Amino acid sequence: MPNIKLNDPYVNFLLPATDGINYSLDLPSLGKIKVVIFSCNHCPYAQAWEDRIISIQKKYSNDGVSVIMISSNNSTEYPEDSFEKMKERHTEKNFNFPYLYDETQEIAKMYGAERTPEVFVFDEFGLLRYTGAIDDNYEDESAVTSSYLMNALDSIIQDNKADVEITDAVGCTIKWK
Amino acid sequence: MSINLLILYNDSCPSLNPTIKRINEVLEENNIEANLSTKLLKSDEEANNWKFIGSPTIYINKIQFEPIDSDLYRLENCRTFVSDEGKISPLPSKNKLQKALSEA
Repeated sequence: MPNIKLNDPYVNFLLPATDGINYSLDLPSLGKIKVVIFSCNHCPYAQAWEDRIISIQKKYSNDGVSVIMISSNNSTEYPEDSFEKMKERHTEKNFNFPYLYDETQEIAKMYGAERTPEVFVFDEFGLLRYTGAIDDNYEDESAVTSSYLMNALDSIIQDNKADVEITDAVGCTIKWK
Repeated sequence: MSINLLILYNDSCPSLNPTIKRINEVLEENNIEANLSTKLLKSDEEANNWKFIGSPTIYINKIQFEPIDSDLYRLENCRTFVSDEGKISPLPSKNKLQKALSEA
C-alpha cells in the first residue's frame, strides 16, 4: 500500500534522467497532470506495458499530461537496471517521457511503491487522484477490459477526480538494496 | 505415460497462478496426463542450487521449458518468456506449452 494516500500532495524529487536532464515535478516543461510510474528495465511486466505507456503519453500530451518513469531497482543485483542500461532502453524504445534513476531508492520508499510498474497520478493541484495498475491485462492489450490509467486520466481531465481511484499494481517487486 | 511437470517459483512474482491455470488448460484441452508439482524457493542458496533464473521456471520431464542462457540466479526475479508474437511476457505462451507437452 502506498505511503502517499489519495488526495495527498506529491512528494517532489530531483533525479537524473536518461536524457541528461535532472527532473523535479516542479519543472515548468512538465504538464499540469503528472503520471509518476515506478518501473524498470528487467521486469517482464514492466516490459509488457512499455508500449502502452508510450501510447498513453502520446494520446494525452495535448491534455497537459506528463509521464515520468522512475527506476529504483538495485542495479548491483540487477545490472540490467543500471543507469547505463536505462539509457540504452530509452534509446531502444524511443521513450517519449523522461526515465529517471532513483539510485538511493529514497523516492520509491517515500512513495511507498512496491511493484514495477506502479502508477501514481497527480492532478493539476498536485494531489494524488489515482494509484495502481495501468490496465487489467499485462499480457494482451487487445484483451484489456478496464483501462484504469486512461479512465483515471479522462476523469481527472474532466473534473479532477478519478472514478476508480485505487487498483492493485501487478508486477515484479522493487529490488531493494 | 504421464508427464512430470515441475514448476519452481518464488513468493514475490505474481506469475505462478496464471501459469498453472494455463498449463491445466493445455492438459485438459489435449487430454494429456501429467503430474504437476510446484516448489517454492526460499533462499538465494536454493536459487543458486537450482540455477533458478526466475519465477516461474517450468520443467517438463526434467527438461527446462523455454530455457534462457543466463547464469544470473536470483531468488526474487520474475522470468521472461517470449510470446507467439515475439514480445516479452511474464507468462509462457499457450501454443508453445501445447507443443512442448505434446512432444514430451
